[in-house]
Amino acid sequence: MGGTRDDGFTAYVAGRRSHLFRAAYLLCGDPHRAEDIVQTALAKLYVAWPRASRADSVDAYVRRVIINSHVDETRRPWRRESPTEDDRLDRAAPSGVAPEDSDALWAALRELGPKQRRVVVLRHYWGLSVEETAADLGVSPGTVKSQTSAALDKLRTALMSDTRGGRR
Amino acid sequence: MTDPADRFLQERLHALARDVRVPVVPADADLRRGRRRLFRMRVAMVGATTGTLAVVLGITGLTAGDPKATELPVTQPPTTLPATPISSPSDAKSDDATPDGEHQAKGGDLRVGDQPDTDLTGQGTDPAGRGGSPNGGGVTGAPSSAAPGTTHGGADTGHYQPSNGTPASDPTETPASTVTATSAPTGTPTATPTAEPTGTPTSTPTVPPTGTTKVQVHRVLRYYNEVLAEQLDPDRDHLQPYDRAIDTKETTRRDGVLFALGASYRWEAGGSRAGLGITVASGWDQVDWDCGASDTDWQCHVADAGGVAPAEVATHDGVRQVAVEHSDGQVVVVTADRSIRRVDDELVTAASDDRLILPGDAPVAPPVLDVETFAPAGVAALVRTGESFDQSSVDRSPQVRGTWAVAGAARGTLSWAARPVYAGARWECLRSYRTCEDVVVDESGTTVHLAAVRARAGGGWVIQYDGPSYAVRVYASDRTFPKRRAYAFVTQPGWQPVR
Repeated sequence: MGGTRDDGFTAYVAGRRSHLFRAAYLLCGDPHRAEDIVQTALAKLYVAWPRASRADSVDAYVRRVIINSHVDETRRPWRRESPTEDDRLDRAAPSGVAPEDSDALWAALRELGPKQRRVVVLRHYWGLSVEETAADLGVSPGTVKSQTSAALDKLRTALMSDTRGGRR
Repeated sequence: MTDPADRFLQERLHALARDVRVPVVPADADLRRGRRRLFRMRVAMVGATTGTLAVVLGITGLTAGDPKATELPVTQPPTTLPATPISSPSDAKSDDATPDGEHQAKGGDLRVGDQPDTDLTGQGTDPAGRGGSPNGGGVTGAPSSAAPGTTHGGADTGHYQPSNGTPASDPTETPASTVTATSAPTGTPTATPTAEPTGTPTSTPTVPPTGTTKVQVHRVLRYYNEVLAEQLDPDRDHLQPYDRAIDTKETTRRDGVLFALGASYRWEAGGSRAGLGITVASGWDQVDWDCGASDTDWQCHVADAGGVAPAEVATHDGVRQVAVEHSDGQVVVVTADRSIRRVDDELVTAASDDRLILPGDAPVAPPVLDVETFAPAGVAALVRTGESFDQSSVDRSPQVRGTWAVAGAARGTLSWAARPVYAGARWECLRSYRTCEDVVVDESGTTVHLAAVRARAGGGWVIQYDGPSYAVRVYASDRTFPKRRAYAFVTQPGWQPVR
């Protein structure tokens, strides 16, 4: 049984880990935190592998774990701390200009609140319907719609300005 | 997603995600993390299951069946009867009377195990015995015939004027009876008492407290209830059967030995509910009985129970209490709210019922020392010509306390007391003592304990002799007080009566 679990889990991780990392990265905007979230999600997936694999919903399970981990992450006390004014503290070492840093979409995405960002990622990156998104987030479809609308307004503005800027 | 703007957003999101640099993490690393998490969860589940099982089994083991007398008495709530010593104002008064930190363990506490603590806190400031008295409202049980006459300026022992009693022998004489001290009073109250019920009980007591080491407290309390019903309410019009879930019980235990057992039963009359309490104790030192004390507002008198036993009746705080000393030394106290319309004689007769005994191998209390003998004997032995003793308090533990003066000049506190050793009154060298030593006081090798009391605990010294029956001690806050007087007093054989 252990062999079956390990084999299936290893195969899944090899094929889907990068996708999960990217989704987590879009959610939290930080590669280190995204890696933490993915590791947590995969560890939980391993424990629940028999149940998740039988239901043929491994992706859905991991997606929910990632979302919940992101929710937990945003609720942690140190995440509620106000950032210091001195940006020299805890700043990443320069590693060149990352593509996202020059992307207005990325900037706009980081400006969204956590809830709106989750809605956007689930609906437009993962491609879920309103109902699926509502089920994953544990909110009503109306909430998903309203948050999607508000988030898209901000993103469209950013994308339009980015497009105009790109065309200039 | 048919909106071109939405499709554009979706494409840009995927493009953005594609540009993210994904760290290279081997699948084996995630596999190891998953295994560790699974292992931790399983260990936690096993631990939680084991812990829960242990708790459940422990609780089940503790609560299975009838609780025994060996249960911790501290788990028992105090009786709700206002007649009980716990709620009597005499307790507070006793506390007030020892502002120097003493604490007299009232009999109402009915916890012999508390006595060492009492010693610890009390002897430091008054090592003569107040602090160590196992029952602050101590009772000799042997009513005396006169107020103290040889104490100089001493406080009256109270309005209590008993007419008969069983005073101990003269302190200067050796007690006549010196045998059968350990004869078991646990006796067999089985057949004889039940053979002649005085009324028409609704149910005959069927569970007498026989002499066994395994005591089922609730069964005994139910038995007491049935005995009281026979005596006071044969038709069960008022006295309700014992219900362990409603009625309160009290146990006094020390080292697994039951010293006192009591309960408060419901007495219902005309829609009102009163309390009828009973306490069966190994001796007077285990009950709260303030009759005879100098600082009490109890109204006491001696009742004649038809010659069965000397009985005392006390009225205080809205209750009547009847105390009867049985032939084996055990004391039965029946407490009745004033609303219970039973005359004193009925209560005395009920308390005198021979079936009301402690179950199991009950400890045997020594015969009481009469404070009316103990107090003047102390004055005679400790106070000489040119000196005086102004008695400030006395109770029937027995215990005497006052001020010693030389040529009219007060020299401090002088007190003497005796406490039965069977309840744990033996000598302990306390932290409030600066030094402790044993002193051989005569050629036969009699040894007494001598301790210098720290100044913050009152100063002076305390001397105690642990006899076979009583621990007799003298305390003088003036360290110049001649110790030899105390040696002679505490070792008098008259203070060691045996039953």
